[in-house]
Formats: sequence, structure tokens, C-alpha cells
Amino acid sequence: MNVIWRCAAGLLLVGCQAELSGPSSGANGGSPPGSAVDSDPRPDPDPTPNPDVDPDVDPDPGVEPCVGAPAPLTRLNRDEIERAVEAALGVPAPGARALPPDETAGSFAVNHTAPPSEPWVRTVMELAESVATQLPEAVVRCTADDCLDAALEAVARPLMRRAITADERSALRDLWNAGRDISGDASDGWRAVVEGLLQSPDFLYRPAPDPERPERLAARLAFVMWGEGPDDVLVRAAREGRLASRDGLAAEIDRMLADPRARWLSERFTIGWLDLSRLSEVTKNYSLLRFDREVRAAMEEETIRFVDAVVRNGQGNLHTLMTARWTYLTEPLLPIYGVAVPDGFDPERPMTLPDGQRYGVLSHPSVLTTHSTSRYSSPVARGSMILDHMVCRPIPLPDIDIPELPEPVPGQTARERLAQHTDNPACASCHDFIDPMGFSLEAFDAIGQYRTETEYGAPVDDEGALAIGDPADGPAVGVRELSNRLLESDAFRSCFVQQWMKLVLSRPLTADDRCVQDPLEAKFAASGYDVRTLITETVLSPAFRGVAEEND
Amino acid sequence: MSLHRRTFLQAGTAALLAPFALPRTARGQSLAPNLVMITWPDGLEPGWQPAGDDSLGPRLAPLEPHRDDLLVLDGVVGCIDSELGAHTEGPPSMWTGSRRRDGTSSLPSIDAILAQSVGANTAFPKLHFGAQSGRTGSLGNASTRYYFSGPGAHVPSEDDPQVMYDRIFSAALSDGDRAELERTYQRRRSVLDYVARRARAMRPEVASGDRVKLDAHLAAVESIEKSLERVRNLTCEAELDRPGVGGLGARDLDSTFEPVADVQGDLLVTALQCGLTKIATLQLSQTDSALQLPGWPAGLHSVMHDYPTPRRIEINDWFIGYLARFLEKLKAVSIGEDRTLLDETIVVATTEMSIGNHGNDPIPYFIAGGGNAYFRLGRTVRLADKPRNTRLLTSVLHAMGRTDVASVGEFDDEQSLGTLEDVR
Repeated sequence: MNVIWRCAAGLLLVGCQAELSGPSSGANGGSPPGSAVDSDPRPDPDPTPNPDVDPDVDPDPGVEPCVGAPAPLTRLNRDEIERAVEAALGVPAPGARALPPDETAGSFAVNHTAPPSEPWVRTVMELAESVATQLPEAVVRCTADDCLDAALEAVARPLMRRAITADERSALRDLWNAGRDISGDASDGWRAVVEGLLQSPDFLYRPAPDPERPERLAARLAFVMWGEGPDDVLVRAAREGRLASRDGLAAEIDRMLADPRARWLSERFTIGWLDLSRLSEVTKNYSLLRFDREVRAAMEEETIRFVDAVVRNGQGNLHTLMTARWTYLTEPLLPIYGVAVPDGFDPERPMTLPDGQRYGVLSHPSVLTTHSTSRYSSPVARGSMILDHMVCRPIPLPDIDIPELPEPVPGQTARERLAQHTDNPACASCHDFIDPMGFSLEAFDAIGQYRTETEYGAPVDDEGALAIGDPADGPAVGVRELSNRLLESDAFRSCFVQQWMKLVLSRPLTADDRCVQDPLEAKFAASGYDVRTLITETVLSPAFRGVAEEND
Repeated sequence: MSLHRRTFLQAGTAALLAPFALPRTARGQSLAPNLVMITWPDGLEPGWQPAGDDSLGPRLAPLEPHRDDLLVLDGVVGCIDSELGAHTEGPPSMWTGSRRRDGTSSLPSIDAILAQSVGANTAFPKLHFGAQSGRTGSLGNASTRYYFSGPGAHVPSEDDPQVMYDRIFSAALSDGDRAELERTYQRRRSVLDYVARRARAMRPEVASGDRVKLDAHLAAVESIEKSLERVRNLTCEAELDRPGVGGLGARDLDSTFEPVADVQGDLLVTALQCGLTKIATLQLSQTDSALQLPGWPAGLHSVMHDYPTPRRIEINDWFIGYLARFLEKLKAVSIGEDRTLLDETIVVATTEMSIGNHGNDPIPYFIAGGGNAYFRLGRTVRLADKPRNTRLLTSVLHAMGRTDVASVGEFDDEQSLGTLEDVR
């Protein structure tokens, strides 16, 4: 009954047809009895305008200079504060995780628009005070006037991410003196200075890029690549004007992508693109295998390492992400993969899986586990994730908590169990898009084990389809055919570009970004869908650099 | 450090044994009562209303001892336009009257309005206590936004009672070492002055549309500075240990919800008792809640939404039981002959929907305390004309002395404007 109620709302129907204007969306028009039809599609909780649906944009190249939507003043998120404090001071700052939740841009945590709340500012104060009690010897060494200017400069520069002026140094000197005078102890001078620097907007915000201030672009680049402030090499490149040229900036991108710290970028993308943020909290009511914190962490690690290898280490492209038969296995995962510990097992090396069961990220246990119920595989949750995050066509659900379906009848397939989704026209208006993709993944259970029989004793039926209103639509049996169809789909490839844009530009996209997105999609295609090229070109784009550019 | 008797002392001032022995006006504080806003998620079980005047009925039974201090409102309608918005539009509208439909509010919530007037001269113009209010479910952060300081400016609640304890009561932590407290105060003041100067210096450097962020930052810094100054000058005596529950790792565990919720209630009551604040909110979980207490068959939201009555009743009863315990805590603080802290405090307890299936009519409202000064207690009022809750919010502002506010919210129909006279 609840299933029907949720689906039957007229708003949903309108929403799905508006969002998904494919060949099958014209069916089932009208609203079911008793429902209120509202012409406003329900807003996405984090509205991210989709440039695809704006008819007013004329991406006429070469006429209007293109710069994309303006870059906002960005407030550091929890992870960035934690990493930046540790990078600059060498002091761990786990307290950053106590900060109030961050805003999001699509799938990614970014504080792009909302002003800071008082509790956020207060929590930063408490965090700064805690960090300032643990300062390393190198910071507090200077206790007298003769070394103070140099010492203040050394502490302030990495936290302010730029050279400081004489006035600013003098203000810090006053703060140091005020701190010291309270107790007479020089270490209290440093405590006050570090507390002040960590609470200052100079540290907590990243301003929009400005060609006159290349250090801003350096900071922007460093936070995107590493989640922390720029290192000395990047600072020098900015100071010497090298970031202003395409080649100079590209050289820094290459250097930074090769640095182990750039795993941060792969990690954020993986979690957002595949919607894995809830994996660490997933519980299962029923599993024949061990399923605990360590297993969940191993699942997440597998996918991040895999994506990182493809994205940064030049082992592949978008095609590889979706089709690879190799991955990084660690011991907690071997039972799930049904693999015995091989001779000479080395979790640091990629392992090619034995037969045709696995195929790219959609067959990773992390993805399959996160997007299942606590007991059963969930074609609805899996299909919704793909639609939302991999095709960028969010279903405007009133309530995306998936209701518990009636207990399955033994011998029933998922398709039979979900029959009401297609039997009821109101349900079908949305579920016709969602469920078929999920059916393709039915050969994997609620923790991502391969199977030939379902948890309720029916033979696996994984005859799904891509049915999103795309030229690539068509039947798709199993993960292999689904992944191959997605790779052929314009919506999927464009969504992949949009996701990287949101991550790299650290903000939602607007219609003004069309002139940035189109050339990026073209370059991505021309590169053979090489992800590294996509990242590099997004950073080189006018929207990231904040410099208008005539499209050629 | 754990001290059983916390004493707020200004150097050279004798401790006051009773928190309200000093007339409150002597502290420059408003004579208005305190306000506590309690929010729990996902409604109540249908049929929660008292059947007659003699009994509160089975669903509200735990509140029976407080019947004389309680006004039950049946018939208030919420702010959302359709039931579909219950999870993402209910929270941002329920305390604001906002009609924005993108998961945020165009208006401040009433706690923020009161913080600027009634609460302005307290150490903490308002405090936001939470128990897993920031633990997200499938809707992410979109379902956690209940309180706002202005348009789009969500104010989160603090879910860690140890953080709350340190923040509110730290001025007494070094008990006996007033000199150390004073040094901390002096350093904070210098540091915050520096931060405020940096925010002002940065303001002209950023795009005009971004200045609102630095303005909000500056306002927060100034508010914290005032708060530190007032805590420094306060005197109070109350019994309170630093909570044993809390800390980062314990934040979102099912097992810590109940103890955290209870301790947050204790901290809130003590903050009122000591005059540290007059305006406080208490957020229990959030509308898209994954919380699963022992005996609940699934997460709270799933159960309230989908499960049959017997399972939902357990959840209904937990929140009503919590409310009863909280009122008991306020009653346990005596502030003079025949008066308790509950008589000085208006408690408004509600939820963002009627029942788990997103209903908007009626939203359960419980008003307790305030000593019959504004709200007439000891009864259930059935409101046949279905007033919107914006009218109740306006009445709460009037009860708090803000009779200058004609109406709260963005609705302009008769159902939504003015106060709710039936509550007096």
C-alpha cells in the first residue's frame, strides 16, 4: 500500500516526465485519482541545475567570451580543514570532524553558498584552541623580538596561503605580544597567534581566482588536488607567473597528480560519483559471510584504489572504469569474491579476476552493498543510484527511503516481486526508468557476492535494460551489457564530465557553464575518454582559472 | 576534571546560593519567561489525541503527571503545501513560516527572532541542543535543517553533550583557579579581535555577493565575544558533572542516543537555571532518521512510515516519555515558594508532520509551563477552523513579550495571520 501511495503522487509523475523526456516517458499521462497535480517539479534537496535542460543557452562559440558561472568565496569543508591544519602545522586536527555538516554541490561536500553559522564559527574556535595546545617545537622556538618577524612569517604564510604584508605582520606581532603578556610566557604568544590564524577568514575561505593574484589560483589548485594548501613548489610557480600560461599550469597539474597526496582527488570523486558516503554505516541483517567495519572499509578501499589507478596512474580511461576485470583485493574481500588466497598474494598489486563475473565499478561490492537493502539486492536502489549519480537525471522522489517490500515468496524473482511497479501506471512512470538497470545487476547479492540463485530461491534473472531516453537504450543482460550500454550513452558520458566539473570547480553548475562543458565534452571524447585529460582540461578551463576565454 | 558543585564566580563576588535570588532585571535580562522548543521526527501514531478532558489517553499517558501544566493542541496545520514536502520542506518551515521549497528557509526561526530581543542580554542569546540531529539518512543534509538565523542561513544543533558542556559551563571548570580562567578569557578576546579585523579587511576584497558570508562570520564572532564577556560576569550555583557520554566516536551510534538525549536535557535545564540562556532548542534526531533503538524493527523513519501500528507505538511512546521526563527535570528545580523552573519556562514540543506518512493536518503541538501567564494550561483545545502553525508561532512570540510582531511567516491568508486566540 505504501509503495502505491508513494508512486501515485501526481507530482512524481510530472517530475519524471519533465526530467526524463525519453521515448517511453510520454506514456501513462494524467494523474491518478485523488492526487494533487502540481506543475512545479519538486526541487532536488541540493538543486544542481542541469545545463542539459536549459533551452535558452546558446553555446555559440567564438562570439561571447566564456568564463562559466562565477567562482564563489568557498569555505573550507571538514576534511580540508583537517588536512590543511596538519599540512601547515604538523598537528593532527581530528576535531574538524565535529564541525557542523558541510553543504554539497551535487554529490560532493563543498561550502559554496551558505554563510557560516555561529555554531560553525564556535566549533572552529574550539578546534583552533585544541590545535594550539599541541604546537611543535619548530613553531614555538622563537621567544624573543629578534627572531619574531621571520618566525611569524613562517607560521602565517602556509595558513594564509600568500605572502603577508608589513601591516599584517605587525598585527600578528601585536597578537603575539598580547598572548605573551597575559601570562608572561612566550608559548602563549604562539598559542594566540595560531588560534588567530586558524580562525581567520584568510585560512577558512578560498577567494575566487584573480589574474592579479596568482596565489589564489595556486590555493584553488592545491585544495582540489590535495585538499590542503599549496606546497613551496606551487607557491614559487605562482610567484613566478607560471600558472598564467597553459603550459605552466599543465606542468603543475601533472606534478600534483603524480604526488601521492592527489589520491584525495580520486577518493572524493569515487565517493561522490558512486554515492558511497553511506557505506561505512551500512548494516546487514542477513549475511552468511562476515560483514563488519573492516569489511566495509576494505570494500571502500578497493574501489578508491581502483579508480585512483585508472584516473591518476594512466592505467586506463572511462572505458576501463566500467569494464575492467582486474581490481585490488585485500584479504577481507576474498570470501566475497569467492577467491581463495592465491599463491604469492600481494594486495598491493592488481589482480585479474578469474572469469566473466565481474565487469568494472558496477560489479564492485562497495557499490552493490551500499545500494541494497539490509537483506536483499535492491534493483530500485541500484537503478536510482545510476540514474542520479552516473546519468545525472535525479528522479524527483518525495521520499527516497526505499520502503520494505512484502516478504518475498520463495521462488520469486526480483522482477516478480517488483511487479506492482510496472502494473500500476503511476509507479511505472518512474520505475520504468529505474528498475531495468537494477535488474541487470541481479547476479549480485546484498553484499556484492556473485550468485546464480537469488536469496529467495529463484534462478537469477538479470535481463535488464538501459531505458533512460537515450539513443543507447536497449536490453542489457547482466552487468557487462549494462556497462557497455552506459558507455555508449551520451547522458552517461556527459554526466561524467559534469561530475568532474562540480568537483573541480567546487560548486553546482548553472546554465552559464554550458560554454565550458561543451568544449570539455569534446576534448574528453577526442582523448578517447581519458580521465586524466578531463581533469587537466577542467583545471585549464576558463571557469577554473577565472579568466575569460574566446572559444576556438 | 569532574566537580560536583559548579560555581560561577566573578572575582570578589560572593556566590549566590539560589540562581534566581537576584532579581533578573539586575542582570539586565528580560522579564519574559524562558522558551524551549523541542522537535522530534515523523509525527505520532494516529489517534494520539486525548479522547476527553479527564484523561490524556493511552498515547499521551506518560504526560499524565503534567496534565495541569499542559496544553494539548489538536487541529494545527503545518506549513507545507503538499504532503510530499514533509521531509525536506517541513523542517525549514515549521519554526519559520517560510514558503521556500528548496530545502532552506527565507526567514529566521522564532528562536533567532527572540535571541535578538529577549535573549540578547544573556550569555548565550540562544542555544541549540541536539541528539543525532545531524545524523543523516538517505536524503543527506537536506532533511536536517530546522533552525535559521536568516534567509538560507541554517543553524545546526550541537549533538555532543561534552562539547555543549565545555562551551556553556567551561567558565567554572577550573574551579578555584580563577586566574587561569581569566587568562583564557583575555587570550580569546585578543584572538577574536584579530579575527574580526581580518574579516573586515577581507570584505572589500571579495565579490559583493560573497560579503554576506563574511558578514555572517563577523556577526558570529561578535556574538561569541559578547557571550564570553557575559559568562565571565555570571554567578550561579548548580550541580552538574561533565557528561560521561559524548565524543566524536559516539556521535551517531544507536546506543548513545538515549543517554545523550537525556544529558542534553539536563544541560539545557541547568543553562536555564543559571540564567545562561533564555532561548533553547532541543532537536531529537531528524525527519529522515535511521535511528533504531532496541526493540524497534528498523530505522525510525522506516517504521513510522511503513510499519503497522504496534511497532509505531513504541516510537510514539519513546518521544512522549522523553517529553514527560524533560518536564520533570524543569519541575525539579525550585525557584521559590510553590514555583518551579517550569513555571518560568514555556516549552513548545512538536514534530514536522502529523503521522509518519507525511500528513500536514493536524500537527501535534504540546505547550507546557509558563505558569498560565499566557497559555492557559490543563486542557486540550480542538481547533475546528484549522489554523496554520504560523499563528501559534506568533502567539509564542507574544507570550515571550514580543507583542509587536503581528504575524510570523510568508502566508497571507486568514488561516495563517495573527495570533491563535484559543490558546489563552
